[in-house]
Amino acid sequence: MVKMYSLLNSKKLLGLAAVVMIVWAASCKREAEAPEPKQLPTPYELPVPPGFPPPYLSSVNPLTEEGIALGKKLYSDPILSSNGLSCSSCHHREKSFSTPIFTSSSGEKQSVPPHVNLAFNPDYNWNGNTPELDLLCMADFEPEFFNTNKDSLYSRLSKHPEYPAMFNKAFNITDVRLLDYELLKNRICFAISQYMRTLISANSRFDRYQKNREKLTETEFDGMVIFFTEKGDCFHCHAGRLFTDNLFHNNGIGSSFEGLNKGRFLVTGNPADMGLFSSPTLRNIEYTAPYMHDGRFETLEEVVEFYNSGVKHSSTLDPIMTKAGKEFGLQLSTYEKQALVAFLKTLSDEEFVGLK
Amino acid sequence: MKPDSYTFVPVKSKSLSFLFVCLWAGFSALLIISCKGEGDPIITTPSNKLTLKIGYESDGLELKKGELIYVNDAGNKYSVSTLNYYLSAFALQDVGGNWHTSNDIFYVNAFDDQTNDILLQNIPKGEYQAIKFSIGLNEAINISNSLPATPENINMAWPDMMGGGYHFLKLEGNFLDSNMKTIGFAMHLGKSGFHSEVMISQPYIIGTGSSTLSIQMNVAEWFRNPHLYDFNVQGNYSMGIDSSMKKLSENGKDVFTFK
Repeated sequence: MVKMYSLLNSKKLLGLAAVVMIVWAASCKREAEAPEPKQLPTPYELPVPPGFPPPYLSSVNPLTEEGIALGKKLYSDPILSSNGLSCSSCHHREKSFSTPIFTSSSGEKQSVPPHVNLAFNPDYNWNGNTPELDLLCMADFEPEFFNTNKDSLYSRLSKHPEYPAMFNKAFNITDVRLLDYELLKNRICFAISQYMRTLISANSRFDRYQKNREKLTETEFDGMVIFFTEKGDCFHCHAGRLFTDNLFHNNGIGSSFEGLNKGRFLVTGNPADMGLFSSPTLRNIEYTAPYMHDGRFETLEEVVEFYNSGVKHSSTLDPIMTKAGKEFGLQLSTYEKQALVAFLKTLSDEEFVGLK
Repeated sequence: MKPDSYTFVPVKSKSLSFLFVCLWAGFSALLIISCKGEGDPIITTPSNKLTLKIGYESDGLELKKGELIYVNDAGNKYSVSTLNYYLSAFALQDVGGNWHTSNDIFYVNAFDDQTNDILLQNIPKGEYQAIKFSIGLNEAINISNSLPATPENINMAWPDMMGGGYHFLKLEGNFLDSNMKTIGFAMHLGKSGFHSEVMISQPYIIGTGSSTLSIQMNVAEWFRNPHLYDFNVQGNYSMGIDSSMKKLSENGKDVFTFK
C-alpha cells in the first residue's frame, strides 16, 4: 500500500509538474505578447501665433504627439461610422474644415462652423451648447451622423493593424475591448479634439501684410479701413487676430425667433439671449459659405448687403447695431461694399486649406 | 508732491549696532532656512495688501444686467448690458501728503465678480487721505498690443486706424427713445486723452496684512456733471466722436465714491 501510495504520489507529482510547466510556458507566452511597459506619451506644445490669446487646453486631455496622431487618423477614417462617414466627410479641408450646409433631423438647416483655431474658443457651436472641445464630437456617434455600430466599432478598432498600438501609445489603452462604450467614445473624442486644437490658421495675406511681407491692393486697403473703423464697425464682434470676440450677439438677422433661431436662449433660457449667436471667426470666410447660423446667405456680397440694408430690430438686437443714422444698415456705396468683400478675402489662408 | 513708489525707502543708518543687528538677523534667517523641512511653510516678509471691492448702482438702485429700469438726468430710461473698463495709475496719498503709486492695470467687467476685486500690493501701512486712479489708460500706456493677449484685452482693442490702444470703457445697453422705442446705446471711450481721472479724498487706514476698501460706481454719473448726456441729443454712440467722448471722460471723474 505504501508503495502504491508512493507510486500514486509520484504520478501526482509528475502531473503537477507538467501542469506547472504548462502554466509557466503559457505565462511566458502572455508575457511575450503583452504591450510594452507603460511609456508616457510625448507632450506637445501648441504653437500660438503672435497676437493670439492663450489656448484653452484641457487638464484631463493634455496634448501629446501620439494623441494628435491618433486624432488625425480617426478624423478622416470612416471606421467610426456604419455609413461610411468620417469627420472629414463634412469638414473639408478646402472649406477650412467646414461643409456647405447641414440639415438636422427636424429639417432645420445649419451652416457648419469650420474647424479653425478652435483651441482659442471658449465654447463651440453656434449657440455655444458645448463648452468643452474634448466633448464636441461625442454626439457624432448618434444615428444622425455616424450611426455608429457599437460592436462593429470594437471589432474593427481592435483588429486594425495600427489602431491598437496607437491607442496604447496615446492613452495607455492595452485593448480597446476592455473599455466600456462611453469611455471608448470619450477617448476617441479626446484624440480628435487634440488634433482639432492643432488646426491653426494664421498665415493669410492680411497676416503677411501686417508683417510688411505683402501689400494689399487699393480696394483691399479701402475695405480694411471700412472694417476697422465706424464705417463698417466690423471689428467689435470680429475682434483681434482671431477675428472673433468669442461672444454672443444678435446681429439683426431676425426679429422673431423660432426653433434653432432662438440661438443662445436654447442653452441659457435667459430671454436676453434670444436670437444671440456666437460670432464666427472671419478667417477663411471666403471658403466657408453659406453664411449665418442657418446658411441663409450664399455669398459674402449677400452678407455685406444684409449689414448694409437688412438689419432687423428686436429687443435683443446688439446695441452696436443701432447707431444713430445707421439703424437699418451701414449705408455703404457699391464700391465700399466691394472693397469690404475684397478685404474679407485677404483673411484666406491658402496654405491652411491646402491650396499652397 | 511728486508720487513715489510703494517700495519702501531703505532706512539709512551707519551705526555699528544697526549693522550688527542686520548681520545677526541675516544669520538667523539663514539658519531658519537651512533647517526648514520639505513641507514647512516658506517664511516671507509680511506685505500689506489692499483690496478695492467695486460695486455698482444707478442713483441708489443696484445695477442689474439688462434691466430697463434706470433713468438718467436727461430722462432717458435705460438698461446696462455691458460695462467693461480698465483701471490704472493708482496712487494712494498718506496723511503726510506722500503719494504711493502702482503701475498695475486692471480689466474690470462689472458683471464678472472675479474682476471686481482690485488687489494693490506692497502698500505701507498707515493713515491715508486720498486715492486717485484712471478709468482707462493714459497716453504713455495706451499702446496697441502692449497688454497681454488675453481674450478680454483683445476685445478691448481700439483699432489703429481710429487712434490705436484700447477701449477705456464699454458701457452698452438699451434706452427708450423719444418715441418710446427701445434702442441700443454704446458709450465707448478710447483714444489717448479721453481717459477719466478719478480722485476720492476721504480718510482711510491700511493696516498690516490685508485691508479692504469698498468703492461704488454710480453709472448715472456718466451722464451728468459737468455735461448732461441725453442719448436723444448727444447720440447713442460715442466711438470716434471726440466731442461725445470728451463729455463722457469728463463726466467720469466722479463716478466712483467710497461706499
